[in-house]
Amino acid sequence: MNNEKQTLKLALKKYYAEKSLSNTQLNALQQTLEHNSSTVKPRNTSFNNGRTFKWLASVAASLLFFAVITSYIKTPDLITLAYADILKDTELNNGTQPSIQQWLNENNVTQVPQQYPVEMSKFCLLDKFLTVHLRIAGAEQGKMNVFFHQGIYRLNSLNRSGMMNNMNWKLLKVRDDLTIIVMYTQDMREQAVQHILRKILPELEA
Amino acid sequence: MFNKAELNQLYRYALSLSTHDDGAYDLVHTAIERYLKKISEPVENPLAYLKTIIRNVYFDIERRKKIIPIISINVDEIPNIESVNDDSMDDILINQQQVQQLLAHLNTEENELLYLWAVEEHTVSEIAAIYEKPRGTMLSKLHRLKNRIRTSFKENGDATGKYVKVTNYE
Repeated sequence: MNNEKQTLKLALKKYYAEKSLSNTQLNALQQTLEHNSSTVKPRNTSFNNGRTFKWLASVAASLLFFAVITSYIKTPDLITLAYADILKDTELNNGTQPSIQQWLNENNVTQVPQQYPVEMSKFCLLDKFLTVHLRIAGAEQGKMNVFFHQGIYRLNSLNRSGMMNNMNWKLLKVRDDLTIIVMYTQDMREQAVQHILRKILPELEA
Repeated sequence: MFNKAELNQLYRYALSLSTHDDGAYDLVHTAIERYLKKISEPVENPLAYLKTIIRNVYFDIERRKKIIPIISINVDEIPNIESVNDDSMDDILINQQQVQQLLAHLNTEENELLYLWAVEEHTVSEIAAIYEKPRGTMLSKLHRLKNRIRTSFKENGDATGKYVKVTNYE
């Protein structure tokens, strides 16, 4: 044992420097490392696979989210078809047809207030859905079109509103067996639209 | 993955905790096994990571034995301590036999602290970072350690063969 006195730091350095693993211990540790390094690689691979999977999943989720958002922002096809139908029937003025009135009665749709004349009524197909189309004139100005469908159009498009080519549109679920598309010109008063809807469909007042 | 010098470095660190050769080797071996099982991504500083595992393994074992050689220091003690710099214990002269006796009389945390300070030459701030404790807490620990060693030297002196103090400290 060396009896030479040194500073505490140097003495400790020397003490620990003389402490080393034996060759047997070193070999055992290196064998452990070598043995496990072969099993570590697959673990890393699975980790990479896991990361790739997570990455792909996040990309897929982003795309799905983008698709949902896009479909939500985009005007529903049904509105485009309704708009096309409105343009097609601009010149048609046939009033309330008896068959239409019967359908309206059967579906608990009450009469349109007299101050808003029904200019046109007809059955049409919107995206293969049988629909009743009414064109109602404003008391003083504007036009309002209501499309009634006995059922539900598309769940993700319900209770939405927007604007298309200077026409406001609303897509409303009235009850489980009735949905409506309302499209009206900008010169049609919003209060008149609400008044008509509440009168013909009392459920909307609730 | 780890060369001979690095394995010996880990062993010496383990030795600062366990103070027994076989115990230190077991600590390194267990830590390496845990490290290999746990690593799922590249570790920035594998040696530092392994030292943390060694420390955790050691204290796990000691906890099971219900021997926890840690002296906890309250934070409110810190403002009352004097300033301690890294070389404050360099005025203590000691030989190898006395090093052994010194280490045998210190607790685990003090041994570890001495090892980190003297052998790995960490600053107080670095040691504080390793322990994840405030720098003031580590200064307090070093202050206590310094006083403990000095007191032992004063009490036992050179003649007893214990610790040696060759200069005046106060």
